[in-house]
Amino acid sequence: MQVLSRRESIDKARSENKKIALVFPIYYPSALLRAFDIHPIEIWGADDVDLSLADMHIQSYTCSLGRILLAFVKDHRFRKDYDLVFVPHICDTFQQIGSLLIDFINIDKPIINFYMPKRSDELGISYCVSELKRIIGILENLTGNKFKMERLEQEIMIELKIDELMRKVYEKREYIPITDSEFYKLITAKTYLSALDFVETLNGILGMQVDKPREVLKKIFMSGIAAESAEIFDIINSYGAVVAFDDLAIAARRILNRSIQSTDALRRQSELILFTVPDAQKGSLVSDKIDWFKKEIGRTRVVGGIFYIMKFCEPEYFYYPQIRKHLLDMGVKTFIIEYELSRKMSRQNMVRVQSFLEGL
Amino acid sequence: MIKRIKYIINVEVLGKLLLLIRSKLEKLRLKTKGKLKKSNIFGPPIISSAEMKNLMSQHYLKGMYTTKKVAWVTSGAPIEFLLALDYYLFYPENHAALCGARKLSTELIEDSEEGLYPQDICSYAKVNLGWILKNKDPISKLPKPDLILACTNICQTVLYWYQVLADIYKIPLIVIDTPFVYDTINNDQLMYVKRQLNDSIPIMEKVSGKGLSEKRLREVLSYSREAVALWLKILMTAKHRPSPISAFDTFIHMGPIVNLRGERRTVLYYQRLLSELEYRVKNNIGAIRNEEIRLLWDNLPIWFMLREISTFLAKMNTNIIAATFSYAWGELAHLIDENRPLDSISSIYSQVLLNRSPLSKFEVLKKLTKELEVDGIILHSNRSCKPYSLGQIDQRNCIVSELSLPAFLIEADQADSRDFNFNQANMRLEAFIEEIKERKWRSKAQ
Ligand code: SF4
Ligand code: SF4
Repeated sequence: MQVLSRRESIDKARSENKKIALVFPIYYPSALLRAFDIHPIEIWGADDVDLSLADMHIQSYTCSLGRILLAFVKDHRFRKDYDLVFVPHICDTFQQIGSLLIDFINIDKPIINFYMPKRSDELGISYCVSELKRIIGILENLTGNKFKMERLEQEIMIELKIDELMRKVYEKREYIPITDSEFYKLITAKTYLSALDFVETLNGILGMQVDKPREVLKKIFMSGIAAESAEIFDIINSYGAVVAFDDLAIAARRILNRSIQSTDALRRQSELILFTVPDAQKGSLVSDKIDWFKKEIGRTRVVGGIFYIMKFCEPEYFYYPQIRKHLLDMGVKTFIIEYELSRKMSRQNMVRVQSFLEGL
Repeated sequence: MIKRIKYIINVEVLGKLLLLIRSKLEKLRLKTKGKLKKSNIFGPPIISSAEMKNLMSQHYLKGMYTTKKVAWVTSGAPIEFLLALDYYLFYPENHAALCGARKLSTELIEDSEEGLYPQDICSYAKVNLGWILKNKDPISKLPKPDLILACTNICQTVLYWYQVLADIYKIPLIVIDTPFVYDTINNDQLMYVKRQLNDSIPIMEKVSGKGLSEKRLREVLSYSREAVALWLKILMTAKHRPSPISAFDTFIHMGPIVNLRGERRTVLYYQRLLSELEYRVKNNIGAIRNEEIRLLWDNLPIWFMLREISTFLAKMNTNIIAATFSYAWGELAHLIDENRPLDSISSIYSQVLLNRSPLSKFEVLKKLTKELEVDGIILHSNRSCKPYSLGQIDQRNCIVSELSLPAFLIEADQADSRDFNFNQANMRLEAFIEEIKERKWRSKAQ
C-alpha cells in the first residue's frame, strides 16, 4: 500500500491553496489549524539536517528531536516549504526552543507557541479553550480568514473518525498481514497527511485484513516517542515477535482514552488533546498510566515491552521504574533502550533487543 | 501524645539548647576567625551565618519529630496556604542541595540509578528518589509526606517527579500548573492559576483537618513580603565596592527564604543579616580581601564545589558578587500584597524567573550587570536544569555583543560531581579572569 510522502503531501496542500504549518510534535490543535486551511506537518527527523545549526543555540546533549527541529527551522533550505511554525509546550525542551525562536532566533516566519495545560480536568480544559481563542486571533490575522465554529466542528468530526479507525486498526492488528516496519510507516503518516488522506490510509490498512491472525511466537509492546529506526521492528519480527500495541507518541498515544463529552467545538478540540492516552507530558497520574498499560496488556496478551526512549527525554524516563514494577507483577518483562533520532540503531542496542527477545 | 512529648523533649528542650550552644560557639569561632586568623584572601566571615545554621538545623530537627501534617513542596510553590494551615514544609530540592554542599549527593544519585532513574534526569530529583529507594538519609531523618504540592513555575521536571512521589507514597498531590510566560502574562493565565489555587485549598484543609484562616494567611503573606524585600536589600548590598557578600554567601543564606519564608523568624533573621552587611559596607569590609574583579553568576550553584571555586577565584582577587539564582527570590517583592492574597499569589508565582522567557532572563542579567557594575558573567550550563540552561548560549552571545562584557559558559551539574573536572574548569576560569584583567588594564591605559 502506498501513501504520499511528506514532500508530496506538502505539494498537494499547496496546490489546494493551503498554508503549511511546521509543527513540533506531539500535542497541538490540528483540527483548529485545518479549520483555517492550514496543513500541519510534523517534523520527526531529517537525514540531511545540519545539527550544528542547533548547537549554536542549545547544548548538544539536548534530546535529538529538539536539536533536529531547531536545526530544521534554522536551515534556509527548508523555509519555502512552510508558512508558520507551531510549537506546543509539552516539555522544558520545547518550552525553551519555542521561546528562543521568538526571543533570539529570527527566521522571518510567524512562531506560534501553545501552552498545553498539564491537567486534563475542567480547569485544564477551560484554560486550553482560552489558549485556543488566543491562537484563533493570531490565525485570523495571519490568514485574513474569519474563524468559523462550524468549520472547526467539521474538522473535529474527521479527527473523531480518525480516532475510531485508529482504534479499529489496533484492534485488528493481528489480522493485518504486514510487517511492523510497514505498519508503522503507514500509521505514522498521520503526522503529515491531510486528515482525509489519513482516513483513506486507515481504511486501506483495514482493507488488508485477512481471516487468520498472524502467526507469532511472542507479542510485545513498545513505548516511547518515535517509531525509529525501522531496524528495531525488523529485529523484533525476525525473532517471530510482533508489536501488538504501542504507547508511542508518534502513533497510538494520540488515541483518545476517554470519550469526548462536550458539545462546544473549542472544548471538543481541547479534549481531543487532553483526553489522549495518559503520559507524563500531560501530567497524568502514574497510576492512570499503569492502568492503561494493564488494560492494553489484558487486551493483547503481550509478554514483554520495550521502552524505546530518546536520549535526554526527561518525561519519558520518570514513570518507567514504577511502571516496570507493576508490569513485572503481571509477568510482563520490560527494558529500556536509549537512542537518538535519525541515527542508525547501534550494534549494542541491536544485541540488547535480541537478548531481551530471546529471554522472553 | 507520645509523639508530642518526644517532640517537646527533643526539639523544644534538648535540641534548642544544643543548637543554641552550637550557635554561640560557632559565632565565637567566626568572630575569632575574623579577628585572629586573618585569611589573606577572604574577608572576615559573616557572623550571622551561625544564626542561619541554627535556624536551618532547627527546621530539620523539627521535621524529624514533627507532630504536624507534613507537606513536601517544590521550591517555587505557593506555600503560604500550607503555612497558614500549620503544615510542616519540607523542600526536597533544598535537601538535595544540602546533600550536594556536603558532597553526599553523588552517592544518592548512584542509588537512584540503581533504581533505574537514568543519568539524564535532574540530579535533585535523583538525590530525592535515591534517598527514598535506599531509605538512607545523610542529613537527618526526613519527615514522610501527608500531601505534596508541585508548582510547574520552575520546570516540568517537578511535575513528573512529584507524580512519582504521589504514586510511591499514595498521598494527595496538588499540581499548580503555571503557564509559561513567553511574553507578558495575560489575564487567562492568572485566572487559571487563581482557580487552581482556589480549588486546592479544600484539599489542603482536608488533609490538615483545619480550616484556613484568612487573617493567618494575610499574616503569613506579610512575613513573606517582608522577608523577600529584605532579601533583595541584602543582595543589593553587593553594589558597594568591595561587596560585603559573595554569591556563595547568598547561596547559603537563601536557605530561610526558600524554606522558611512566611515565618516571622525569617524576617527577624534577615533584618539582622542586613544590619551586619550594612555595617560591613560602612566599614569597607569585603567578602574577599582584595576585590579586583566582580562577577555575576547565572544558574544554580555547583553545590559540591562551592568552597573550591570561591577559594580559587578569591586567590585571583575575584569575587562573584551576585547570582541570578539568589536574585530570583527577591525580584518580585513588590508584587506581594497581603490584602489581595489569591490575586497576588497567582501573579507572583506565575512570574518567577524560571517561568519567563530567555529574553526576560537576559534582561535580568543586564539589569544586575548595570546595577552591580560587574566585569563579567559566568553562566553555569547546568545539565540538570533544562529551563535554566537551554537559552544560555544566546544569552552569552548577547552579553558579549550588547553589553560588551566577557561571558563564560561552564559545563557542570548542580549536584552530580561525576562528570566535573575541577582542574580543567580551573584552567578555563583562569583564562577567563586573565582576559578580564587584560581588558581592564587596557581600558585604564586608554
Ligand atoms: S523527545 Fe522528550 S525532551 Fe525531547 S522534545 Fe520530545 S518530550 Fe521533550
Ligand atoms: S530541573 Fe531545574 S528547576 Fe527543576 S527541579 Fe531540577 S534544578 Fe530545580
